[in-house]
Amino acid sequence: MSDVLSAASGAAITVKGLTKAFGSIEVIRGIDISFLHRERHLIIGPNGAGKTTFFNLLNGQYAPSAGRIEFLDADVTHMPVRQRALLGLGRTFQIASLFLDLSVRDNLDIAAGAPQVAVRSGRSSEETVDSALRFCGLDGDSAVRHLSYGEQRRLEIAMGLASAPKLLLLDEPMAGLTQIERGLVAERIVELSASTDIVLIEHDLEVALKLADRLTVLHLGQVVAHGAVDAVMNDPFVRKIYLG
Amino acid sequence: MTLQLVNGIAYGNLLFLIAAGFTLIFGILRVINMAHGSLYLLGAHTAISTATVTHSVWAGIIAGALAAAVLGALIERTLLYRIQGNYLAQVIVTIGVLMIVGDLCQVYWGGTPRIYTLPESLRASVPLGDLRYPVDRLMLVAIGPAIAVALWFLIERTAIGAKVRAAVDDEEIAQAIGISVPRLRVLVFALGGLLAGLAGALGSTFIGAKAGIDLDIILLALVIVVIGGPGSLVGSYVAALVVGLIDSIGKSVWPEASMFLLFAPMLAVLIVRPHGLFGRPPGPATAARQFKPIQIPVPTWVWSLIDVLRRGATHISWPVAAVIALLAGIAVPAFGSGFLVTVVVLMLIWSMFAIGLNIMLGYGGMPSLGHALFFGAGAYAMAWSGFAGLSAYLGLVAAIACACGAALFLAAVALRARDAQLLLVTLAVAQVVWGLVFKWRSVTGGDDGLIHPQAFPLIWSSLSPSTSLYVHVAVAFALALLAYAWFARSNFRLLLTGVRGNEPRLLALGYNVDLLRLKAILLSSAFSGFAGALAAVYSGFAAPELFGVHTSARVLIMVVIGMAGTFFGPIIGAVSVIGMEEVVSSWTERSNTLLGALYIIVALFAFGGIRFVRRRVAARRPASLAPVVSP
Repeated sequence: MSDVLSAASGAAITVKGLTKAFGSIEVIRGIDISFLHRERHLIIGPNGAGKTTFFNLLNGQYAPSAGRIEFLDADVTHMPVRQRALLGLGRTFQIASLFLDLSVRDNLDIAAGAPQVAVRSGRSSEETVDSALRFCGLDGDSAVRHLSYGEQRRLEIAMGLASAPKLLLLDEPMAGLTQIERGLVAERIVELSASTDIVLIEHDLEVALKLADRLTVLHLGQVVAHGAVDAVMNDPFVRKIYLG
Repeated sequence: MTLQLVNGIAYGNLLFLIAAGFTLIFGILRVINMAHGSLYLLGAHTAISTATVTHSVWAGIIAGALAAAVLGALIERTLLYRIQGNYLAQVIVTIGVLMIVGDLCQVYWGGTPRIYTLPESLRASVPLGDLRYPVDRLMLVAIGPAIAVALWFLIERTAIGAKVRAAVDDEEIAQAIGISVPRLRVLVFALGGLLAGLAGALGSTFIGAKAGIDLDIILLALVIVVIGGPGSLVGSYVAALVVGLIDSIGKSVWPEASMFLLFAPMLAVLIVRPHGLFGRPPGPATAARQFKPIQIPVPTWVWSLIDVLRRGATHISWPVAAVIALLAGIAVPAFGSGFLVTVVVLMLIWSMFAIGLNIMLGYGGMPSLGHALFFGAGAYAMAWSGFAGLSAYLGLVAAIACACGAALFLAAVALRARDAQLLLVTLAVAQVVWGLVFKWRSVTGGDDGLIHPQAFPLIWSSLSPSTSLYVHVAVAFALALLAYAWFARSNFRLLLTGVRGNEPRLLALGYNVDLLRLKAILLSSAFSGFAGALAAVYSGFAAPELFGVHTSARVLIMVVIGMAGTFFGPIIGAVSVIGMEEVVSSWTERSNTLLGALYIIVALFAFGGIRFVRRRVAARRPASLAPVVSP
């Protein structure tokens, strides 16, 4: 059943032989992978595995040294960040990347006013902003600079939502949050996945594994395991690098 | 041809000497040292005086170089180290030094140009084809490469050089492993000063020392540094040689174009390779610097007065505010003296100019030291429209169009630059245009400027011309303010603040950040050009100084003093700076020195504006504790 489904919906993003080297150091070494529609993908890996670099390649922040990236069947390998965003590739940042000088509502306004959003979401930007405000549960008028760390992370995800991407890359959305906040963010991510394909990087396996459909393990720039969560977690090599 | 070749190489080496200190300081400390021209000037003056007194050329050269080195070290040790990392404040400080040193040199050594004549014994020449070539210029061909190699050796191959490189790479870690970064900074500044002084001393036989040479030197250094790539010594050497040769050979082949020869290579390089021939492309923009106002405690009654005014202003409705503004506007000519009307006209004009810069710098986080370009473009467009027989109203439109054209030109070369690099590029482009305006006599009137017939028609025949001008400027100001208010409430302003705060995120959201920047530059230039046109009508004259760095610095200081990025900031800044200038110039002849001091004080202590706060008084009585709530 699930095979039929994925065959029908196809891949949201596919990379082939993706490689990134900084000088002589290869951080990403020939990754081949597809992320399918309507599934929540979790990427894990020890520090320095190349997770954020991988995201930066997917979203165009970095140019790959070799390989190919296809997003919704279009070759985006050499497309700048902005055009990928216009195609519907959104991301949030590991370190909250907000407009600190502005209010919460202004931040969401900017996200919802992005050129591609109105076309894609079919909603007016005000509706989008209001629903994003409800989503993060913050006061629209408060200054972002004065929000707590947890609130900033929530806004970060709400901005990802307000920009109405087709695929959202979430870079450690729960890092540095309390247990309660993590639960809240996890709920939001599940909610979000009804309308958007999601790939997330996360360190907190306890929460993340519960919401993931599929799991990828990166190690030293390579995919060492990929597949259904249980199968991957029982993989002996994964157990070795994670549990020592 | 041999003569031109040798001439070009000699000139190129001199250019390298002029630029070396500038590029060294920018490359290592990221400071745009506008006082570089002063260091050169001081070096030249000291060298000439010492050589004349001691009859020793060598003593002159050494004294000139040392004097500049000491001044350089002093600038860093006493002024710049306080505002480390704040490149905008640093450039303002060095402009202040430039004004003071230029002024004081004129006081001490007089205004007449001084050129040192070599003693007979040293005036040798060597045969070159049919001609003879003076040895002192030929010396430059040896000295230039020697200094280039020595600098390279010092930075790349010595322990001090290694420390300097470490400090540039990561200052905190360098400090942590025991490198005294402040001492290194002083050292680098002394070295930069030494080179500038040396160039001044060596150039004193043919360039000489005269008022205004400091600005010319900065222009040359900018051209070299921008072509070679900021911070690259090799780049500077290559660029200096190339420019020297192009200039020397070009002048003989195509004399009509001589004034463009110096600048065309720079513009070509900026368009093709914005970071220069040997420069590295800039990294991502650093987070925009926050303009934090200094807080001045004031007595309670002053504070409550300010507070009442502020509250009143926020609660006042638009029609009431408009009526108050109208009454105030009428009161100025009705009750004020002619002098007051003139000052208010100036304040309004410069307010509009400062609003223009505030859009770019304050809201967009794009520092510019080239805004004089737009102001000057507007003023000259107004003057030309007068010669063309157009009405002054059409002249205003022409001025905005001309300024926007200049903005497109600037954007073509500066759109991708950020931070200090952007400051450098805007400065370089504006200085180049200033240089062209100065020399292109047939079009711009050269250093005489253009005295033009353009004026606004009298509104009523009974009105005096100055009052009529005042009314026009006031109405223009009201229109500009409306446009500015529209901008401040627009979505575009929101996005521009986003560009300032977090450019990568805007890109990731799909915004065209370059287009936003371009729009900001265009809008900014429109305000500035509009102000420039009014300034031209006000003075009846369009002078090349309008394009000069002093104009850019003046408007920059206004925006900074009034707190960049706030709505009324530029207006408050313009009013206070013009007011201060009027007061200062009525006190003394040496107003440049006082103004330079003002720049330095503002950059050191009031960068980001001034905000009055209630003076906090320590509680004399112990505060009563909350009463215990009994169940």
